[in-house]
Amino acid sequence: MANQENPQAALELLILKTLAAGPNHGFGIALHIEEASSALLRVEEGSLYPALHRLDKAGFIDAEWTTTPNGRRARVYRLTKEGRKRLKEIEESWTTLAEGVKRVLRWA
Amino acid sequence: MGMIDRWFRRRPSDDDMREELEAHVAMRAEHDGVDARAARRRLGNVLQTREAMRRVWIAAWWDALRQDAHYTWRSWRRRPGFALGAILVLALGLGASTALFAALDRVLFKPLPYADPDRLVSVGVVVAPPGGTFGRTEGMPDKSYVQMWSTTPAPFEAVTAMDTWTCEIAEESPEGVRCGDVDHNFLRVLGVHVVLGRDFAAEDDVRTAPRTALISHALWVRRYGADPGVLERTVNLDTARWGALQQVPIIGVLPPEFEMPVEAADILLPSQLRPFVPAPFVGEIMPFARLKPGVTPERAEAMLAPQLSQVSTLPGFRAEWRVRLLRDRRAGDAARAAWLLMGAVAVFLLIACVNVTHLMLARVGERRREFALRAAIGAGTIRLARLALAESLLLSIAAGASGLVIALALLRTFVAMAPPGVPGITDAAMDLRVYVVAILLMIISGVAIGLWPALSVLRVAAPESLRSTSTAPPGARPRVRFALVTAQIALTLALLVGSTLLLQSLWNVVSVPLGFDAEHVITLTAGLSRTRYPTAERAAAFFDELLARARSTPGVIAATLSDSAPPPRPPGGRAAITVEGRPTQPNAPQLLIGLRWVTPDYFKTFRISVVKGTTLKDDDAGEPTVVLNESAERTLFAGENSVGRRVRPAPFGFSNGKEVPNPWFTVVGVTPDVRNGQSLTDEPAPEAFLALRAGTPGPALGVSRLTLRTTAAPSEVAASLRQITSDIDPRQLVTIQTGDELLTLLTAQPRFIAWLLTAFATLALLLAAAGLYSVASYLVAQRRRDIGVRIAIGASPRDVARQVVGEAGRWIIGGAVAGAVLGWMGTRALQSQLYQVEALDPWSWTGALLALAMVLMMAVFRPAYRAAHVDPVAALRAD
Repeated sequence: MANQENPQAALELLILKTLAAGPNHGFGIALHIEEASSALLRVEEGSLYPALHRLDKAGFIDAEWTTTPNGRRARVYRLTKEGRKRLKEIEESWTTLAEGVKRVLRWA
Repeated sequence: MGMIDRWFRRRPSDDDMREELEAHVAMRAEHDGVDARAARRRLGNVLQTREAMRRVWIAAWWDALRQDAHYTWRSWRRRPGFALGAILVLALGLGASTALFAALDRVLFKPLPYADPDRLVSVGVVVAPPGGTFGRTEGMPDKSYVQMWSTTPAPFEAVTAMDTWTCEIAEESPEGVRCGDVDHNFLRVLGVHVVLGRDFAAEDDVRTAPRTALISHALWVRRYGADPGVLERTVNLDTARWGALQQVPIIGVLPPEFEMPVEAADILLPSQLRPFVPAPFVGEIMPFARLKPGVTPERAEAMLAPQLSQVSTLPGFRAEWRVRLLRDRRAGDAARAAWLLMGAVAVFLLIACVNVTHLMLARVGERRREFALRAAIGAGTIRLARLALAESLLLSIAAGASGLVIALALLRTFVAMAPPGVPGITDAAMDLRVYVVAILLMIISGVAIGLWPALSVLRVAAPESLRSTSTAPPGARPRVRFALVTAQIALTLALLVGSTLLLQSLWNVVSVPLGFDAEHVITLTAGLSRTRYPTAERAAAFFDELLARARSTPGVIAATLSDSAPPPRPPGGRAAITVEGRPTQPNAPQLLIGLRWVTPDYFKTFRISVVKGTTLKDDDAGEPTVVLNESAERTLFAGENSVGRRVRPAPFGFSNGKEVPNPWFTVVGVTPDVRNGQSLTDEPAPEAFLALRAGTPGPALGVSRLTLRTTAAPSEVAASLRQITSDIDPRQLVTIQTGDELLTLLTAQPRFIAWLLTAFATLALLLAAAGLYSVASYLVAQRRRDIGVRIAIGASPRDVARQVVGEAGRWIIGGAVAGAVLGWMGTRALQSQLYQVEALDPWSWTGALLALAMVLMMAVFRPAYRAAHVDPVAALRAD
């Protein structure tokens, strides 16, 4: 499933990384990614939710309906143990890839 | 998280998904300070997103299956003939198997409703007259039973016995029911518990005890509205056995699923055989026993053997023990026939599967280029093979569903046609067991028909296939298809031989010389209620008037009143008979002789002649008279002349605890033996015809049969008979049947089996013909070019046709030889069902082979004709 050329893989990495900071709902995740990347990355909202469900089905995250502090019902996701392991794996391979690309760019 | 957890991970509902997206839109709108519409626009196409979310949760295999199903459906739409044909063929096979299983489940498979039923046996003695065959069912004189088995014999843990008879609940809304006499331990030996009240105790089962009754659950519900207060009530029972009405307290109710081991009974009573059975009184009972663990029925027979001398019979008669598992006893002859039919339907299902496999292979052959193309553009060959397997599974599901409809209709036919004496067939229904079997059969046949085509797809989809031309198809190799056709022909021949043998046997049964003439005979049976006919005189008056008026009906030549008549059933009662002047040993068990009470015209009505003496006469004053059949004379007088001698049947019953002795009957004549058993193939049994006259202790009063010989068609007389009865007593119900109808009932079993097997064989033959036709056509189409060349260089159309026919003929012969071997093995199992036909009967075999050859040659004719008329120019130009 993990395939670095797959744009979905990037989205998964971002979702898992966001959730590593703590449980969050879909909108919160989208917002966090935008803010953390200083609006460099904009999440395609149409693919965010299917990606969340894919991760849920694969068992990397768990979902639960809760009420947010401002009284809104939201489906909140949290990282599972497998999810944490998975995050570590793809983080590493992603860093390797990014490092490689950076070197190539420097020498090109 | 393990695999299992992941598999069962809860799928969020559609509402969850909708609400999650709604929440997102609301939060986005709030955060960005825009309206909902703008926020929704930012999300993109909400519907599409939700669809994408949903798709995440749908299992991949399901997705693939849906694709395959869709693809298969489209290809069926393009060739509906193939799909419909294949589904119909398989549905017939599955439907027939399912229906037959449903009909015969209770005979063959379903466990009996008793505790540990595999140790329950029926025990008894079977007797054969000199030169005759052993009886069908085992029983025992009740006297021997009580004397010999006062302590339980070694092979058994416990023994018990029963006997059933007709009785009537003589109360308001009287009702004829079956009563059963049982030992007090009867239910405990079977392992059955009453649902209400108590079981019989040993104290209930002694001759001096007041009678008590257990009633069936059905009777409890029907007559007492399932009221638990029934235990405070009595039932007023009327039966010829007791000679008087008796109020019997009800002490318990049997469980709803209870069935008697054999025969049926609504009311059980203690048989009260102990402490003694009076000397000359001999009745017959049916003993049952529970085997000790580890003892087989055969072993039990051997262990009982020394006791056989104590139940010895008349000189020349042979007797032997018969210990059978209860299941075998219940099924009786039906079990063998049932296995036979199951075998036949299995063969039929196999033929149907072979036929469909064959059709599918032909399809693969047709579509090989398509498959090869698909393989070339990237469909995995495994994926293509899976597609073929999916097609076969869908085919079997469609066939299974239509098969259920066919099974329902067939089952109804079976139940309607089934011969009497097949246990449980009237209650046969499509229950859970049947559905499970139907689904299993469906899956098995689906895999069976798909496996071969799937493998051949693998071959077809190999890359070189695309390059090849139609002259060298690697796909459905004709050799495989011919092998399938050969197998089909072989199985078909086996079925054909079986069915011709059975038809021959049926013909023999139907043309058995009966010894009496049942044509132009009509019978009326009436059971009089004891409440409306409380005395013997009243009942006699009814029948006397009936007889007198029937006799004077136009078109009636002779009329007789009797307690039973030959076509449908053996004599009403059986009793030991003593010959005057011959000393009887008090403890020697005696052979029971069938008794029939008849008025003098009985012999004229059935056209039975007299070989010695005279028939009964109307003016026989004074001494009661009797006519014996030849077997009875032989049995009782051992070669001496019986006419003029006197005989006395053992007492029929008790009155006030004392047996009522019968008078001496003078033998006035002897008639030839006529068929009088339960089936036409039963050898005639000894019987005595007692003159039914006023003043003699008559038959079981209340049940009698009027038989008329007519010149007119019997059905025409039926209307006037009904009129007469309703004139005498409008409330009296009667059954009117013609002699032919009664005879038809007797041949129901062979008729049923022969009919079914012939139906299977005919269908199988048609399928085989269709298979051969398809292969031969395929072969001709495939060789069009070769044939064209041969014709171009001078071969005559006849040569070409002969070649096609010759080739098909080789396969037919191959199939016929294999079929002969199969048939030879199969018909040995059939032998027990055959009456006066050998399993290797040359006529039946010749007939079956001729039918096979003719139909198959017809199937080859068209392909051969087409081959002969190939236009060489067109053939060579094509491709």
